[in-house]
Amino acid sequence: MLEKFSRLCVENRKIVLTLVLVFTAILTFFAQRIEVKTVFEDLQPATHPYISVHERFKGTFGGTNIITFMIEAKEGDIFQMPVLEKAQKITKGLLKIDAINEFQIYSLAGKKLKEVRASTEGIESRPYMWPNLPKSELEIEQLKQSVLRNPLVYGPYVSEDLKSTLVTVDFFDDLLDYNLAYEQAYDLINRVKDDTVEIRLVGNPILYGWVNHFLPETMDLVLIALAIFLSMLFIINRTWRGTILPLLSAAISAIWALGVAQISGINFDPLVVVIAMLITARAVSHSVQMITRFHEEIDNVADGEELSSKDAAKRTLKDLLRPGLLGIATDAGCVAVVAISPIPLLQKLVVLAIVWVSTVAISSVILTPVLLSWVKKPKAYAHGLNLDVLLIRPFLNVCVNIVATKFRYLVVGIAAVIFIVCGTYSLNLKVGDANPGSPILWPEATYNQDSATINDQFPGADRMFVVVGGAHRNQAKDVEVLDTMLRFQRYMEAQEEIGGTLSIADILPAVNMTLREGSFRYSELGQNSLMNGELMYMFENASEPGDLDRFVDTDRSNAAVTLYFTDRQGTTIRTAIARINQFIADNPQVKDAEIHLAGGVIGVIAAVNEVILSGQIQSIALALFILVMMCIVVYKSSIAGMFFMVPVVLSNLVTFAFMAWQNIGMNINTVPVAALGIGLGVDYALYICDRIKSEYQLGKDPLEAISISLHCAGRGVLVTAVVLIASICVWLFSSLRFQAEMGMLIALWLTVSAACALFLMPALAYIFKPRFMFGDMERQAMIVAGSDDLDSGFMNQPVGQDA
Amino acid sequence: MGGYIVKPHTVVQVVIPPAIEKRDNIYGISVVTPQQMWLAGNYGKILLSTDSGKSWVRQTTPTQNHLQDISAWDETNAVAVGNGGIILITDNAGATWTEVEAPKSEIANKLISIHTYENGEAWAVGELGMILLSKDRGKSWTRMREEEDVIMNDLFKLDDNNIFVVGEYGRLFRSRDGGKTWNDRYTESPSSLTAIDFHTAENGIIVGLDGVILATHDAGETWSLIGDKVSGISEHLMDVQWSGQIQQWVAVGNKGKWIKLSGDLDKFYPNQLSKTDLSSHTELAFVEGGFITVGANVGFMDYGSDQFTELGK
Repeated sequence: MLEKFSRLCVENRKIVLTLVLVFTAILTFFAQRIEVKTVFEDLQPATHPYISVHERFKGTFGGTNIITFMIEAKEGDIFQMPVLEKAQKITKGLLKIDAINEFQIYSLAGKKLKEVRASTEGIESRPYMWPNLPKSELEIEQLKQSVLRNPLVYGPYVSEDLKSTLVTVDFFDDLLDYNLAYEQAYDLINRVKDDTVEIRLVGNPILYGWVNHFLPETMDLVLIALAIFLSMLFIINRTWRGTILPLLSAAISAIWALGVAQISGINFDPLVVVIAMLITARAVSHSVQMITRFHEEIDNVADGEELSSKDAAKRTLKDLLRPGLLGIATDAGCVAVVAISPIPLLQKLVVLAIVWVSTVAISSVILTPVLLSWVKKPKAYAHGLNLDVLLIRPFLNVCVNIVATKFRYLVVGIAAVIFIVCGTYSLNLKVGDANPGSPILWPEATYNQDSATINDQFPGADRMFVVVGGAHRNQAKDVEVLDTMLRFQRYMEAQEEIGGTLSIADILPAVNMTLREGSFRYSELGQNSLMNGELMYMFENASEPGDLDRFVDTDRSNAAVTLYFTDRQGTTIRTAIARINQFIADNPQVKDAEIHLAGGVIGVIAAVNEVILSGQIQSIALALFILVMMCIVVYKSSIAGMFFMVPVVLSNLVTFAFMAWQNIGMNINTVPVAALGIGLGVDYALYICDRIKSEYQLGKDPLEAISISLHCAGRGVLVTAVVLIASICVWLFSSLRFQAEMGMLIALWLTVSAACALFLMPALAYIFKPRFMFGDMERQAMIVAGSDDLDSGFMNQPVGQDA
Repeated sequence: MGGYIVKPHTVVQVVIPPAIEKRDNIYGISVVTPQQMWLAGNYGKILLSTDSGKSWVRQTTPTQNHLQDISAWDETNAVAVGNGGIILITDNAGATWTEVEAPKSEIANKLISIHTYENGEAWAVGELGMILLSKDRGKSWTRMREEEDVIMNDLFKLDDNNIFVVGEYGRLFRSRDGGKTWNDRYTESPSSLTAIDFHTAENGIIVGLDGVILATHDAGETWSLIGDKVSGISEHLMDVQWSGQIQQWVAVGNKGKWIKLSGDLDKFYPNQLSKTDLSSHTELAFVEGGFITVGANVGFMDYGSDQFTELGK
C-alpha cells in the first residue's frame, strides 16, 4: 500500500504540485489578513464558576483591563502645584483614550474619590480636587489633611510616604484595543511628564501593548533565525535543493495554517510565535529526512548503474511515509488533547496547531520527494566544503561505536540517572506564574519595573473581588453580612501579598463615627440592619448616583470585597483562594448570604490556574497515552509503545526540571508548548528505529542495521537538530522573556530528543532487541543460518566499520 | 497506561496573622507593672505583653463583641468591658476569660470605661447612663444610677465618697456618698466630655470633644473651660492623665493629635504624634520614658526622642 501510494504521488507529480500551488495561492490571500493580537478574555475558562461571577459583576466591581497610573513626585511630596497639576492632566486626558469607562476613573482629581465629613446639616461628601485644583498653599494643606484623614484614600490612592498618587481606570472590554490603549496611554504620559514627576503605568492592556510593541523585533528575529537556518543547511547539505526544499515545506505549511486560521476566525497571538517556530521545526525535520534519504538512495547505487531521480523519490517516499506520518499524527494527537481545556485561547491555539502540523504531511512528507523527483543532476554539489566527511560521519561513527561496545550500558546508565535526577527535580514545577511581575517580560523591562514600584508603594495593582450576597434585596445591608465582610477582610489581609481590601463595610463605620460626633469608639457598624440601611442612605444622599457602584449592586443584594494583590504568583493566588475557602468553611452561611469567588484579574488567573492544574497536567499524561497507543497500533506491539515512551518521558522530564530550575511556571503560555514537546520528542526516534527495522528485515544483522540507520536517518536527525538549535538560539536575545525562555525550552527538547535518538534508542534497541524491530517473520524466512545462535553471534562480533 | 504524571507543586502558605492586625482598633489599655500590660479591642481581642509592649500574645475570649476598655487589679486579676454590655473577668492572668452577668438596658448597652480599685472594687460606665459597681473582683455588678439617655464616658473616684462621671453634652455627674446618690449638671462645655483625672485632691482636669478642656482647683466644686484658642487644640480629646514623670498632663485624641499641659494649666503644648499618622486614639498609659497610646494603632511616644513608634507590627 505504501508503495502504491508513493508511485501514485510521484507519477502524478504535476497534478500534486499544481494542487499544492493552487491551495497555497488561495490560502496566501487569507493568511495575509490574519489578525495579530491578544484577547485577554480568551483566557477565561468559560465553564469555571469564578468566571461566571466575574462576568456578572465585572462592569461595576472591576474588570481585568484596569490600568493604573502612578504619579510620583521627584522632590518632596505630591502636595505641590506641579504634581497636582500632573494628576489632573492625566485624569482629564483619560477621557480622550478610546474605550475608556469614564464612570470608573478613580483619582484625586476625579469626581469619584470623595471625602466624607459631617456638617450641621448631616453628612456631606465632596471630591478632593474636582473640578478645580486647590488655589493656595492653605488649600493644598487642607487637601493634604483631608487625604490623611481618609483611610480609603490615604494608602490606596496616596502612598504612605505621600510621594506618589494613583489614577486608575477601567475599559469597556468589548471596545478595547490593547495596542491603541497602550499608545494613547503612553502618549498621554509623554505629553504630561516633565522633570518634576515620574509617571508609571501598569495593567493588562499595557502589558499586551508591550508585547505588540516588540512585534517588529520578533519579526526581525524570525528573519535572522531564517538566515542562519538557510546558510547552515546550505553549508551542510551542499545543494540548493537541500536548502530550498525544507524552506519551501516550512513556508507552505505556515501559509496553509495561517490561511485556515484566518478563515475560521482565529487571531494570531504574538506569543504563539514560539509554537509556530516549533511546528516549523517539525516541517524542516521531516523535509531534511526526505532529502537525506533521497541522497542515500542515489549514492547507494552501484557504479555504472543509474537510478533516476524519479525512482529514488518513489523509494524515499515509500520508506519514510510510515515514520513521517506517524510522527505527524503523534504531534497532532498530543496537541489535540490540550483542546479538552475550557479555555478559548487554548482551543483556538490547538486548532491552529493541528492544522499546521497536519499540513506538514503534505508540505514535507509528500511534496519534498515529489519535488526531488525533478532533480536533474542528483550527484552534483554546490560547494566543496564537505562537512559530511569532516564532522558528521565521524560523529555518527562514534554513535555506532557506542552501541557496538560496552559503552551502550553507560549510555543507558546515564539516561537512568538523568531520569531519576530530573524526575525528582521536576516535582518543584509550579503552576501559575513563578515570579513577581509579568513572566512575559524580563525583570528589568519598564513594565515590570513600574509594576514592582507600584506594588511596593501601594496595596497592590492587581485586584480580585469576591461577591458577598444572595437573592434578597438589601441583603448587603444586613448587619451580620457586613460584619462577616469586615471579618473576612481582616482575615485575608493577614496574607502578606494582599496589600489591602476594600468594601462597603469599610465606609459605614466611618459614617457611623461621623454621626456619633466623631467618637472613635463608634468606628463600627450599626447595631442592626435598619441602622446600617440608614447609614448607607445617608452616605448615598451625600454622594452622586453611582458612587456606591463599585461596592454594591443597585438593589443592594450583592456587595463586593476587593482584594489588592502585590503579585500574581501561582502560590500567592492559591494561598488566597485556599484561605477564602477556609473562611467560608468556618463561616458557612450568614443569613442566606454567601461568598462567591471570584472576579477581577486575579480571579480570572485563579480560574485559569485551577483549570491548568486540574486539566492540563492530566492532558499531558493523556497526550503520552495517545502517543503510546499510536505506536502500538502502527507497530502492532505493546512493547513499541513502551519503547517510544522513553525519549518522550526523558525529554519532558529534562524540560520540566529545567522549568523548575529556571522558575518558569506551568501557565497558560507554557502548557501548549509542553504538550507539543511530547509529540516532538518522539519524531527523531521514530525515523531511526523504523530504519533499523526495515534494514533488519532486508537481512542485515542488528548492528549493521543500526549503523545504516544512524548514517542515514541519524544524519537527518543530527543535521536538523544542529541547524534548528542554532537558529533558535537567536530567541535568547528577544526582549520578550517568554520567547527567550521558550526558545531555550525548545532547544533543550531538540537536544534531548536528538541525543536520545542517536545514543539511547540504538543502545536500547541493541540491548533489548524488541520483537517489533528484530523479530519479523519475513526475516526468519530469509535467514539461512539457524536463528538460535543469532544473538550471541552478534554480541561477539568486532565493531562494524563505517558502511 | 504507563504514563508519567509530573505533579506540580501546590504549596499553600501558612499565614499567621500578627497579634495586632492592620485593621485592629484597640480601644483600651491597662499597664499593671513596667513589664506587664493588657490591651482590649475589636472582636473580643485581648492582648497581653510581659515585655513592656515589645511582643503581644492574643488571649482567648468567649466573645466577638468589640471591647472598649480593660483594667487590672494586679498581675493575675483583670476585667474588660465592651459592646453589648459585656463584662469579662480573669483570675489567672488571662489564661481564661469568663463572661459575667451584669445589669443591662433594653435599648443600648455599650460599656465604655472601666476602673479598678483596692479590695476588688471596680466601676464601669457606658451608654444609657450606665454606672456599674462591683466589690468582688467583677463577679457581680450593681447598677448605681437609673437609666437615662446619656452616654457616660469616664469615671474618677477621688476618695471613698467623692466620685465623678463625665458624659455626653458636657454633662458632669457627681456623688458625695460613694455612689448611692448622684447630682448632675451641665458644664460650660457644649461638647461631650470623654475623660477625667486628678493629680491632687484639689486639682483635676476633664477633656472632651472639639478640644474641650475643663479645669478645677477646688476638688471639683467649680470647673472652668479653657478655650481652644488658648490651648491650641480643637480636635477631639479622648483621654487625659497626669504624668508624674514629666509633671504634666498628657491628653490624646483624634487625627494623631496629643497635647501636654502644665500642672497649673497655664502652658499648653499641642502636638502631632507623627506627620503622616492621623489615626485616632482613645486611651493612653504611661510607661518608662513615655506613653503608649491605643486606637487605630498602638504606638509608643518617646518623650526623649519625640518619636512615635507603632508596636506589634
